[in-house]
Amino acid sequence: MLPDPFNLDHYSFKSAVRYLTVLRAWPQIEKLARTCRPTRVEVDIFETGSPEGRWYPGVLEDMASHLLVMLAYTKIGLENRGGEEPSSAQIVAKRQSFFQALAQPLDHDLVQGRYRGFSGPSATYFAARVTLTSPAWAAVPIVIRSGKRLRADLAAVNIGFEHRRFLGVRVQPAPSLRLGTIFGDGAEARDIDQSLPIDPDEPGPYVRVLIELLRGEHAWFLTDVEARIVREWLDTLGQSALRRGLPLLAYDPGSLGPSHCDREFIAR
Amino acid sequence: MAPLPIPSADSRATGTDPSGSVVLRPCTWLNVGAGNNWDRICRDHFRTLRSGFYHPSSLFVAVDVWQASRGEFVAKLRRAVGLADHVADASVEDDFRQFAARNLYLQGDLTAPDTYTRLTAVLDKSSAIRVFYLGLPGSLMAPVIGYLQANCCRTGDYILSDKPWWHLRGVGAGQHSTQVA
Repeated sequence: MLPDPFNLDHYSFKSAVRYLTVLRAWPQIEKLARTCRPTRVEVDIFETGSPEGRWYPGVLEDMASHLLVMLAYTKIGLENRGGEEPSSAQIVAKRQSFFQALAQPLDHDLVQGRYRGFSGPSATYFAARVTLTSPAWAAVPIVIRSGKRLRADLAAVNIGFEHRRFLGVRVQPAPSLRLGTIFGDGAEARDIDQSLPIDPDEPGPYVRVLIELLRGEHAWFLTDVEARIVREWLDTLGQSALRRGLPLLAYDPGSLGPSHCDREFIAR
Repeated sequence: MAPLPIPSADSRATGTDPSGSVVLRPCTWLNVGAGNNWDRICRDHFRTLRSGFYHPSSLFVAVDVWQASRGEFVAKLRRAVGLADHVADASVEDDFRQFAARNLYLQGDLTAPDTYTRLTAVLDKSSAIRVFYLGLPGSLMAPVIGYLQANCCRTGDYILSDKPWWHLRGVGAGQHSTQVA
């Protein structure tokens, strides 16, 4: 029988992303997740690189699925009591449940930007609000952001909890974990501040794809249902931006992006 | 927190090479459309080849529209894996020569049946499992999958569709011609 295509999002094959599913293996995070509710989630992928000179569909189409996948595994991890490694069946079921709880975005859920000097027509920066319909998460503000030609390369998940507690997982570079408290004056006390235990010699994500295909392990590929949901979510946002003539906010290469606007956006 | 297990030492994915070392089963990785993520993919493959985990008969094939002589392709491959233009450490250079020898480039129009006839002729020289990675824009995805299934795929091969919603969103195939790095 000829093969049907597997839906690949290579972020699912990064070790640091997989650690998101077992966050509660750290006793301090287990205690936090049992006693405090999340109050906000931000998932970011910022890049210094530019899409200049190659075909580029826009940062939303390019990056949103990576951010949604990171968000899905974060939710799975925060709900995974004890932090035991989920089985393949659990990964598929819980991730699909996340995507099915993804509410259709509204008109005001997106801002877009383009760095000065980019010759292409598409956005190189976006911030989008994500709403989940599952009861425990429906009131949690969630923002995903990504941009090109920014000041630094960074992929991270930052979660705020009640009582000024925070949890940060840096996926790249230098994967790491931070857990602590932010005081009123902005100072931080950290309970955990450590690198994630990842072997620097382990295979990269694309080789991991190959290994898992050969093993017959397919849980980390997106199902057709999930791929359809991502496409519809992107379509809704993209069509809304077109219909409203959503402006592309200009930002300087090497900057933090149009942060003045998305700070307001996040605060809304 | 113990490190998560790395799924490598598993008999379903591995075999032995002629020297008896445990390596990944022989496979051919094909990048159909060598723009999207090609550099990252090459870096991953090169690092793994350097670690000795690839079977010596493994092949890496890129298919795309851009014109490139063998020398130009190898130079592009060198940049992709992060090696500078000047000569690196001798062992790195030796590893890169081996890696480059395992890398083939086929120039072709991805919407033309002839491209897949030529690709099949290349692939038929190896019995290894084929993994077709599609990093393609827009409406190219569906026809390319059709051509691959009709011409190049056998039972047990794999097709990977990266960001599969791109083709569903109807991005124009014509834009692909600008994808020359």
